[in-house]
Amino acid sequence: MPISHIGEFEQMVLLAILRSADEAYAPEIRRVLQERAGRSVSRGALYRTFDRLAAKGLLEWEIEDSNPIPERGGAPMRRFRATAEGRRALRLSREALLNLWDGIEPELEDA
Amino acid sequence: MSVSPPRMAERLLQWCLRSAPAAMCIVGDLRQEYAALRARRGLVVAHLWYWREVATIGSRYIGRRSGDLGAGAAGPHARGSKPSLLRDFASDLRLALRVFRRSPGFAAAVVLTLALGLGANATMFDAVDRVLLSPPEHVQDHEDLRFLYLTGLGPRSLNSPMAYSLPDYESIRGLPVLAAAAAYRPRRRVTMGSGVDARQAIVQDATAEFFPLLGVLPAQGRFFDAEEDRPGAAPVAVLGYGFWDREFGQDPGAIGQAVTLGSHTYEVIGVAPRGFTGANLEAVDIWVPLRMNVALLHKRRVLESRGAWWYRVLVRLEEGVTDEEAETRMTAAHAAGVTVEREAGGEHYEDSEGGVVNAGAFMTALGPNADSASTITLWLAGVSILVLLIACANVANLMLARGIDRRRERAVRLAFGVSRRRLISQALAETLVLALAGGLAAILVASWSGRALYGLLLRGIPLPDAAVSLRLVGFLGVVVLATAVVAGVLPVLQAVRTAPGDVLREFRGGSTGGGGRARAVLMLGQISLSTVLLVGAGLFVQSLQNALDVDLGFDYESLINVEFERHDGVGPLRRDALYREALRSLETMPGVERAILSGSSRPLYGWDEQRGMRASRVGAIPDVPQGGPYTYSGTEGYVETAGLRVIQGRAFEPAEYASGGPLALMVSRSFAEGVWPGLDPLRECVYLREGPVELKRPEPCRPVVGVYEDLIVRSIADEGLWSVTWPLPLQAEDLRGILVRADGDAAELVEPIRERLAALSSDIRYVHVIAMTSRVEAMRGTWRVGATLFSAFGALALIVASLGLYSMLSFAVARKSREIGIRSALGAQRRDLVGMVVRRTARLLGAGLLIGISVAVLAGRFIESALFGVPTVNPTVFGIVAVVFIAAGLLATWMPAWKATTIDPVKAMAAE
Repeated sequence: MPISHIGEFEQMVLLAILRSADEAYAPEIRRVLQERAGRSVSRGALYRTFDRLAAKGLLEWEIEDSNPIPERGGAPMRRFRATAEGRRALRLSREALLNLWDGIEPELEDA
Repeated sequence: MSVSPPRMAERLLQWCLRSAPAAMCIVGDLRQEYAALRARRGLVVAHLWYWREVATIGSRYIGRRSGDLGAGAAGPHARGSKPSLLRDFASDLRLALRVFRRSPGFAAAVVLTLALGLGANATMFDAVDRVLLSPPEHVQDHEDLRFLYLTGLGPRSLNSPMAYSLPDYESIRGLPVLAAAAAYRPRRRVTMGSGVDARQAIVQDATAEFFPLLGVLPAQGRFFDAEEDRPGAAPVAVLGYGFWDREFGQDPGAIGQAVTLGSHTYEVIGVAPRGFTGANLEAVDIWVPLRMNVALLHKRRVLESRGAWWYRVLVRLEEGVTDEEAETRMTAAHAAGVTVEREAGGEHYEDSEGGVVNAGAFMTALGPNADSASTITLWLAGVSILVLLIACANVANLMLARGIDRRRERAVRLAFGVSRRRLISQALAETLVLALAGGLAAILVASWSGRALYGLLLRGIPLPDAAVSLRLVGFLGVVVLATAVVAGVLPVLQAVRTAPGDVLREFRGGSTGGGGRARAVLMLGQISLSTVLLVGAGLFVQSLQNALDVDLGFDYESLINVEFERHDGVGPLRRDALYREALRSLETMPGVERAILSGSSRPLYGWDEQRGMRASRVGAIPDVPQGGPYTYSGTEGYVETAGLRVIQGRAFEPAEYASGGPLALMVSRSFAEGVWPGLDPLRECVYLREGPVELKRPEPCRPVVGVYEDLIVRSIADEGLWSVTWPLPLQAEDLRGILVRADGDAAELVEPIRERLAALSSDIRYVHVIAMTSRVEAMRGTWRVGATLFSAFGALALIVASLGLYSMLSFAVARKSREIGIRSALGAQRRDLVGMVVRRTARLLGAGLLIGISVAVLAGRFIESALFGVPTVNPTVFGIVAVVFIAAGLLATWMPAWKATTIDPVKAMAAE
């Protein structure tokens, strides 16, 4: 079965999750997106993207007890992980992009 | 202090997320970020941020089921699912959010207007609700409760709620028309402890029937029963919740402990529930059984006297009994009681049948004895509704302008086959989003302004636990929805009425579009209403100024009044000796310029009336409506210490203060002019007859040696009080207090004096020290409150109306850019273009001011009684309001006018 196409933002979110590794909680992911990609993302959009990626089977999460963080008032935390499918989707779109980019860089030098 | 986010917002979020996966994780993330933001930027920023996040996250989840996770980007229709109204509407809401993100200025103007208008209204609604509509907390079925009033009692007016004696109460309380009855004595301040640590608690005496009558249950322990509420029973007390918290830190171990009130000790048997304040709104610290306590504090026969009109009586009517029926029965029972009393030779009611019993509503604000707080509250409710009207007009105006602006877009969509229903739905969604945001911001405004209101208007009434009550949110919800529908209907109607072709053609022609007149009318309404409010503010500010300018007739600024509360068993001779000792102590105290002993209670603001005085030439002194003559007396230096202003003759000489010295008396200007019109008062004399000092000798006629300016001591509106003043020797008996003149700020001396004198003797239970300035400030309170609140609302109205004017003019300039472009291409000067915009403002402002001032003149008589020496037809105030409005108008015009001059003709014409 072909892997469903993933959009630019979905790619960014998956990459941010991989980058955050053990710290892949929602606020951290948002921070990485902001700092690395210069994208200011609304929390609503981010949460919906998580849901969508999970529905496509590209992402999964683990619910953690939040006892050590009193500000959360006992609310649990979600740590995200890209699934094997997710990693494969990323690799495929990276390859597709690189193929398209091949030989184009000089054209963009003046831009 | 907790750092959790606003509870209501979090609940809303949870509701929006109810179908989202791992919803609690999202809630937790936001909590964490909220806490961090709050630590960094403070409560306000964090709250606003949280509400915004709830709105943006919530709007993405609302109206979706967990199943349609993939629908995000493509929208509901793309998936071919059955279109659902709710889902359409949710996507409309999202679209609306996006639209407003693109024009934040417009959205901010609407939200700000709504926040100010609705917030002010919500605050006032809350006050009206608390003071006028809601029963005190914990009171059950208040509809069946009645306060009793006695009327028709002959010369002494007892038409006050505090008109019952215990025998009066006992004669009606067992009647079968009543399900229950209770009597209580209104709050008293009672001293707790003694000496330096003494402080005062607010105590209410109530019969054992009181708590069951109101239907309240104790938070701890129990309430007192009939066995404890009889003369001679062991003293017990029930604590108010706030007092329990303050004094005992909510320790359940308080039960069984002792509290000392005055010279008696009471065992604590229970705690009233949180927020319970009895039958009135003001806080009470301690309740004690009435019959036990009155017998304990007074002679027992006070309990049996029909002359001790000390109590309020509250009854609950039996089911199905009408007020008339109950009143007839109670009046008959009352008369029977009076007859028994008269036959037994009782001294009261000899001159009447005993009066008629009336049953008045429990909510006193609606009854015959409404107090001034409720009257002021009612006006302000009216005023705040004006502000709401202005705000709604403004929002409608903005929406209308925007609707016109977007007609073309709508026409295009209609032409492409989008259904009218969808267009209406979208317009409504946009309005709803704005109204909702405005409503939430209004809650913030309300929770802040509410505190200010309680500080200013409802002093003594405890703040409610929640800053924002559920009723208030409900009220706001209704108003927000109404505003949304009204303001949303106009653009919607516009959207569907027009045929797309017309609109598109019209735009090609570059016409300004319709709706101009409607907007001008709305603007006119705003300006007129704001004018009315500003005129009101002007009148009150002038009243306050007048009240501040009133000459009280004496120099009160640095005066301090001192009185002792003695322990029981400390006799009058000891008291007088204590006052003399205190005087010696004060004379050497730093900061005290001079001090004297006073023979009248509360020197200078007491109510010592003296009847039966006689004057030379005229004999008995006639009764005057102001009451009096009021009497003052003091030891050597009294006239100078009190700061009386001698306008004729002289002050007392030292010899006249001495015991056995020459007799002398001073009278007030009105006394002299009223008693001896046209004569020289310095040749006259006065018989005091029942002087509190020299009763034993035959009364001599005291020669008048001086006349002083009338004193204003009870209320600022006092005019021409008749008073007389005489000198006292240092060894005088029956001393009532000490009058102190500070050589600096009197307020700073109050506590040091209290501490110094409290340490003087263990015979003193409490030292009352009051700076005269606080007394005078209380007299000016009404006008200060009126001036502050009207000014606040007036300023609010001005801001909202200026905002409206600005946005309307900006819109007009934007719409006319083509016309302006052509004009300037044809050589119109900058002056002409500015003039075009300014003329429009001038016309609106002129007409609005005219209408507003006319309305203000007509409405003036409603507040006339509350003003102080200010005519309601008041050219000065009208002039100032006009100037303020014109200034605000110019400010609102400046930007749009400047914009008009910068329009590039080429661009403007190419744009179409």
